[in-house]
Amino acid sequence: MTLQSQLRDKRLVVFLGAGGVGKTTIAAACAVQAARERETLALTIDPARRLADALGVRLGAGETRVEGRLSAAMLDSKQALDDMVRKYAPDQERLQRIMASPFYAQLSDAFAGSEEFVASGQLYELLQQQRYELVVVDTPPSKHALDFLEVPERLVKVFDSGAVSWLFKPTRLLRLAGGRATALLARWTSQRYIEDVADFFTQFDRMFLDMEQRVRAMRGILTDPAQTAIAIVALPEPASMLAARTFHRELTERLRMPVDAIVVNRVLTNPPPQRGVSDEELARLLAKALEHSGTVPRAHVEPLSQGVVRGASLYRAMAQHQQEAIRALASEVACEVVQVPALPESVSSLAGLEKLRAAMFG
Amino acid sequence: MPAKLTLVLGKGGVGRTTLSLALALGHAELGERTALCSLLARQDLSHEPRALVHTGWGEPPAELEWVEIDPRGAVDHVVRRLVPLPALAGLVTAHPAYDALFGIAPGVKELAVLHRLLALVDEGGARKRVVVDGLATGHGTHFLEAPRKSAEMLVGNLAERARAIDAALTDPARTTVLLATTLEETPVRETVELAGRLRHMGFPLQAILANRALPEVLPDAQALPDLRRIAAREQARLVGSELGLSWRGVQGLAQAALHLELQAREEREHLPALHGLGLPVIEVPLELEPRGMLRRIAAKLLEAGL
Repeated sequence: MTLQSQLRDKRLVVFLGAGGVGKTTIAAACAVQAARERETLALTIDPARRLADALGVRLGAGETRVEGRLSAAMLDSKQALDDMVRKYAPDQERLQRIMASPFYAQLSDAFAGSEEFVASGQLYELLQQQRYELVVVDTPPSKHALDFLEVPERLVKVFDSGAVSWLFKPTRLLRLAGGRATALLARWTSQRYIEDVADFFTQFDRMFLDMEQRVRAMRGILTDPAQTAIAIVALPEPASMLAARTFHRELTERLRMPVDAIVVNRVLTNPPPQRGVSDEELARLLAKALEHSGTVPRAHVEPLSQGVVRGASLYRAMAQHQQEAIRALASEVACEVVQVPALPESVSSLAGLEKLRAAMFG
Repeated sequence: MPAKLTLVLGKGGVGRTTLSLALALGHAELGERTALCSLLARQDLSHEPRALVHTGWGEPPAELEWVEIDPRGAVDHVVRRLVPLPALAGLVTAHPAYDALFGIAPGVKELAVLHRLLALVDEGGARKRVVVDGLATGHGTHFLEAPRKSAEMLVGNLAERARAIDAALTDPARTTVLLATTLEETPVRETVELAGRLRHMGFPLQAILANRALPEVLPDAQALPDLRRIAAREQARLVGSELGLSWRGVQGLAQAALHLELQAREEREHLPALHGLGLPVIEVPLELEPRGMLRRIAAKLLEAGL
């Protein structure tokens, strides 16, 4: 099944990849493609607001109609996390304590991916409303590309495993060591730290339990190939290709989520063919032709002819390296590998997105 | 005498591993015992440095040590040391909650890894230098912030150790930080952010490594309009007829050259943002030929005084 038909059939298409590979732009171009036929929402969790830049719209808290069947929205998961704490905190004093807790500061710093947890719950709510036939998600540029899929589950696991009660009632464990452990524990953490942790988790316990159902249901949608397609975005460089291969393996083998496509962005296409002469000879011939044709000032003939030959030769070498890296990747994955040609200008408008869409899907 | 510590930081994909490797190899070849230290990744995203060294360098020098720190192993190690009763330590590390909790507990893993790293540096002896590949990527500085943050939450020996680690990492006589980037928009923006945060935290920044810099295609910038002209059909036809090539042939050459020239110019537009940090910016040229690549990069880095 091609990426194009995924965009026609699925309910959710998720784009994953490291920061800087052009994930937001690729996701937006795919949303533009899908919106030709279906009511589509381009959803970004990227705080850099690139989607808004690319679409030329202002993205606020809600959804914005871009044009035709295309809408866009941004999830502000940091804000959502704060809102959720406010909603669940029983009183003002507790709220202050949670907000002031070093644990909360670090958690909400995306330290532990609580933003992904919230984003996952929000995405589920959005899908439940069924206002769109397709939601295209551009995942946050996390330090780890799989955080979006993985962290919500990791947090659920913490609650399942009894870590909360383990922390909250350490006495049960400490008694086993004959009481000596209390003194020990106090030697390496302060009483205040233990209180902070306990406080934090009891407050968050209710909140997470409520969220947990949504996160589990979201996981059900994400792992259902009838509803969801997952695409990895990468650049045609060995390091990025290697990362894509690793993501692919992790997703399919460990997380059991099928990958439908790997999109290789900014590929140098149509390299000029190698002539039967050396670069020096070609540069000499080109200089002669430039001089005779009189198209450029005499002083520019030499640097220009050398520049053209050097540039073309470097382009050819780079394009060849890219194709080797792409071939190595394609031989190891079963999914479709989509090559997106490098456009001369970076995409910064709806017209630019349309060009990219046309380059991808015709 | 403790070893000198060099932290090479930067987001994934900018060639940080290659740069760290070249730097460590360069120093080891000069006869300085050098440890190249990386975190054992749960997923191997590295360039398989050992394979890389054979094509890019040749036989690795005897003075090079390979050290991999396993974050989970480092945590277990610290817990075992803190909990003197083996039975209790076993109970703690085997508890299902332990695994789940350390997946999200802030600072614990980071502190444990840094503890191992500093032990390596303090040991010193014949080891003169420790080059660390990684620890901070993009705008994430949680690794380097961990000792300071943990010191506020801990007491006793552990708090003291956290403070000692923080002091060593921020001491310019002991530690230097290199920031690796490519000359692309996202990596440059993240490097500027990272530099700001590290500076604010008191880390001794030494230089920026601008990796895989494209060479300029046109030696004379004045010739760019001419290049644009012959990349267009009419002029390509004229030049082609002189050259005995089709206009498509000439246009193909000119367009390829123009594409890279524009890309190289875009790269150079990111340089002022890096220069604005007030640190030396060392440009490491794009390498397409693996043979001898590490030697060329090492020569470049050592020549710059790193």
